[in-house]
Amino acid sequence: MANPITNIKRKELPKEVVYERNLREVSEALSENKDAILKGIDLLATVNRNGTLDMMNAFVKHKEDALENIMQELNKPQYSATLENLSKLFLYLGELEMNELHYFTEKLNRGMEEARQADSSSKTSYMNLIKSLKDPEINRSITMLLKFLRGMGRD
Amino acid sequence: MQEHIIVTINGEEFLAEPGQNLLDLINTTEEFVPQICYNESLGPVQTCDTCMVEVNGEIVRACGTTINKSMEVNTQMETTHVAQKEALGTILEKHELYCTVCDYNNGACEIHNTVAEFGLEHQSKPFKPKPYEVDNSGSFYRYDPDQCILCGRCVEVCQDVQVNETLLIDWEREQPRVVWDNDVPIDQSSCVSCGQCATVCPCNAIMETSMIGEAGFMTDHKPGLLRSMIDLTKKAEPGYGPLFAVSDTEAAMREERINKTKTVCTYCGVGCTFDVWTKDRKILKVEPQKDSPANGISSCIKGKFGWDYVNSEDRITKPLIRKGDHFAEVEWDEALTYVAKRFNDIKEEHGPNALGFISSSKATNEESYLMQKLARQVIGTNNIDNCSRYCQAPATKGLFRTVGHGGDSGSIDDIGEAEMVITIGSNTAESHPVLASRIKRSQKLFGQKLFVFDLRKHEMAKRADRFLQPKSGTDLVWLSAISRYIIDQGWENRAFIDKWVNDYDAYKASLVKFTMNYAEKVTGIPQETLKEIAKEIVAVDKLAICWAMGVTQHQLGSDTSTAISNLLLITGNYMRNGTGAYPLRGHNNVQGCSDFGSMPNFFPGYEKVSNKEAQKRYEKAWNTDLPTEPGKDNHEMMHAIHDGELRSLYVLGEDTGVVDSNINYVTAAFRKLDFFVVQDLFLTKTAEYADVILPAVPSLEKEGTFTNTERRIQRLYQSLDPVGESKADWKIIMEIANKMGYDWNYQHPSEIMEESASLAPLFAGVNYDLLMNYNSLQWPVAADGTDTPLLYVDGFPFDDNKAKLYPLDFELPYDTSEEYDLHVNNGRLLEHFHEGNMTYKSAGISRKTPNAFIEVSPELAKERGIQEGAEVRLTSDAGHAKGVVHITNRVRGKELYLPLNDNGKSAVNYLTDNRVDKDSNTPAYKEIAVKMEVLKKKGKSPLPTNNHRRGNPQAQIGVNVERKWDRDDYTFLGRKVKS
Repeated sequence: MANPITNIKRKELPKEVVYERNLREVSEALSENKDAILKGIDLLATVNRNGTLDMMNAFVKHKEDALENIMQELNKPQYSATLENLSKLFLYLGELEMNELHYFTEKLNRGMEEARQADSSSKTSYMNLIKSLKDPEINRSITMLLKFLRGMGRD
Repeated sequence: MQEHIIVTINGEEFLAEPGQNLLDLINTTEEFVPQICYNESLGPVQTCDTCMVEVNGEIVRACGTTINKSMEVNTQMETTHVAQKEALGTILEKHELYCTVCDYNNGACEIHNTVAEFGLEHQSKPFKPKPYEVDNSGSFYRYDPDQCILCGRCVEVCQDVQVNETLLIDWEREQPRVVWDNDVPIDQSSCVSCGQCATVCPCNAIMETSMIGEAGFMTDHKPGLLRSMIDLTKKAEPGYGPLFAVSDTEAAMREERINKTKTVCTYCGVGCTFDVWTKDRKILKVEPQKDSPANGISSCIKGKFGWDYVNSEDRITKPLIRKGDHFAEVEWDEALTYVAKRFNDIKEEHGPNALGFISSSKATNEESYLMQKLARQVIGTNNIDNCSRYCQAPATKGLFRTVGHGGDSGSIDDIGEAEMVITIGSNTAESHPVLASRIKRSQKLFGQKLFVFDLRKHEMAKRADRFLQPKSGTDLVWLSAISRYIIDQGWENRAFIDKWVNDYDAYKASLVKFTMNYAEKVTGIPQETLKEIAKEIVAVDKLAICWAMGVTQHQLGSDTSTAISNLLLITGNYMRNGTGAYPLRGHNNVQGCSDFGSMPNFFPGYEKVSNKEAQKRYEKAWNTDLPTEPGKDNHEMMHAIHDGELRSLYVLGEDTGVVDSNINYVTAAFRKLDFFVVQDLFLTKTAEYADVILPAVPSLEKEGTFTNTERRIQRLYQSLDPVGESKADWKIIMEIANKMGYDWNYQHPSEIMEESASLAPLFAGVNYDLLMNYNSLQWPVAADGTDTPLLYVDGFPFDDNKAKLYPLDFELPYDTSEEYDLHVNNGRLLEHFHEGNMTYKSAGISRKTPNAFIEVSPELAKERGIQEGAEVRLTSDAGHAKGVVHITNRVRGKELYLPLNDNGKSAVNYLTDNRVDKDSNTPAYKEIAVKMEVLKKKGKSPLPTNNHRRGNPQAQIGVNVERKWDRDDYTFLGRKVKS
């Protein structure tokens, strides 16, 4: 005669047995992955030595707070403008003609070099200005600038 | 030969079927056309306008174009491109792309993928939030109007595939949105939680709540933080290119920790298949596939959301042995050694027939095979049965008598294709929801006629073209009377009968008794109606009859099933698609459990144990002598225990002490057993009587195959590891056999199937390679792997290839009496299953349907002076049950309905008695006369306000896109780009 019963006595594994079993599982895994584990320890030692480990630890524990702070900060208008500019700049870069820009940058650099060497006290009169048009280098620059202005004004 | 139509697409010619959808055709070519609302399983919805192409010089929606004559199509012109781009822009105005922090970013988001493939780089119109809150009210999924693009797929699937008619889009309000019923929260609506809206939603607008905060690496944050992350994502990922680069990487990372495993549903016999998404032990979601053979994209509440039991705290995780007043956890070796010893001792002392074995309709085919092998080979008894005895055996019997195979004649597709479907004693929409949806769809959209014969006005009855309520247990009479009338009128299918059917004259003679007068008197259906029905039956070309427990669980269950088959034979409704007999199988593997030999009189594949040739085959394979006398079925085993003949019982995965009839008698038998082994996930009512309980695993934790109601064998793959030390049933059975001195050595269920296929001709060609992923086989399977979706194509499996008409008689064996004046009908509830061991463990289901209830008609309630929530005690001559009353006109007069899904005081089997079907020993569960005693006159309704039965469905066809087109702010893009 078996009466219906609902009571279950769980078999509590002795602590030592569980400990032994877990330990065996872990050491098996260690042994199977010896190389990876040793490299891992090396990496751990390095990040510990330079303090990164503590920082990482703290950061991971406060992940949600950190993320919230960063998000709050980054969503402020001033960053927002930067972020948007960044992305616009990124697109702008794509539109620039780099070869042309390079040509002009070179000329611009030479011009700046010359300008730096100039004596800041020396003055240029109207006559000097007209005369300097005869200088082939200045004339080339002026012609180029005039052409640039024409291009810029074109619809 | 069907004629083909030439369609030129971008200069190249293609052949199309007449009537084919243009977008369907384009999708078979290399051309890419964006398409967001289009879903192959749903057909064209025409809401998103992204699939604009040029046809004969005119810009049109490809999905809205049917190919009827040859046409010139261009998909790559500037104008079509502009139109497509404009449409995508409009979608992105409604849907924010924050993919990286979206739980739907799993590689299959259709908006994401379309925008990426189209190469759209920028948002042309800024995203505009909508003035609605997220609807988080439901148990299982949530709706976010802000992410909803109003593609209407969810509406289409709800209206025309599931046909529950809950969802619609209110196109007229300023900001249209999806609404539930007459604009109530999801939880308060008529939604049956089939989850198909979430399955077809192309984005994250309707999403399973189990996914939220779980699927992504960065999605599980507080709402405020998530919002800032969304904002930042949008700022930092300018244009869609970088956004997709980041989010695609994140999606790829998700693959690392989310597993998607194909499985077969563990609930009803429809046999839905789907991918289960798991993250560790968490079940993130269930996703039916368009290639799922039985269900396509469909599912019901249980298959989609009812998996919590797998992770229930109540799971048994170690073998248990009864020690005095408690069960003690023991090691496997101790438990198995003990079981083997007790089996051996009892066999030695009392002979092999003192042991009985009950297999499970929830376990796999391979496990059924091993259980019967254990009984036959190791013990030497045919005392093996399964729960099909409780439900399906009479249908099988009726089909064996007439057409020779105990299974559905065709597939669910055939039921969908029939011109007329008759259901008898089947609460289809609740018991076989996905199959019912196919009928509902065919009736709603394709003019299929639906006749329902049932006591109770359930959903199918409400939808039926004709609904008839014959007196309980009299279906045989109207079926036979209609057969007789058809023959009398000369309307029978003479050509079919002459060629394919035997015993016509004897059958005709047996019908003498079944006059229209007699039928009217016995069934209560007017003869004029019966005559009209007869006329309508012969007027259609394709008739399919579906039946279930309302037919089989009667004392004349086998005979009534036979009468159904007789009617189909004389009208020629076999051997063709769209016709035939469909005994809807109840449990996931109730078909397969019987197929694979857990039957007292059959080897696997329905070869009789007395069949010398089959017996020799198994004796040779198993190297032992086998018993040739049929064994005891479930019911006889209970008697034999009471008689002292049967002393040991091994029950696998059945809560026999709740689901067998007359449970007082059954549990009394359990007490008398010398030795009782129960194998289950939980400490069930039955297990409480056990000497040993062996912890088994659910379907998600093992491999194997199930066979659905269509005779379709489908593979399940393992998606989770077993909990604790629990094991798959096949492993446990094998270990018991080996402890008893055998050397079974199966490494994988495929090897068990291989053995069975080599022995049972019905499954000769079944093997796991042919069943890979979503492939399936419908038996019989020939040695070369050819399967049989439609039975009887070349005749019937009898000696001369002809079916048999089977003469029947009728005596009404049951009625209510003056004392027991009420008839109790019983059956399933959509949202629960079986005795409830699994579904009640789902918090989501339980909060909507916390317990079973007793349905009482308004007339009876008035007569007895009771109101909603009253408490009553029902008493039959076998026992008592108590329950809370729900008053509804689903039942009428003196008929009550008690859902069987309960294992407490309301369990219906306290009321059922030992009466059985005379031919199959199936309990006559549906024949209970009771008296009702009122304990409390009114109280709290047992049906919570958020139960779907209280909702207000809003039927319409599809999403009504014309109402969108009529809006003032809508411009057809085709016109716009042209001007």
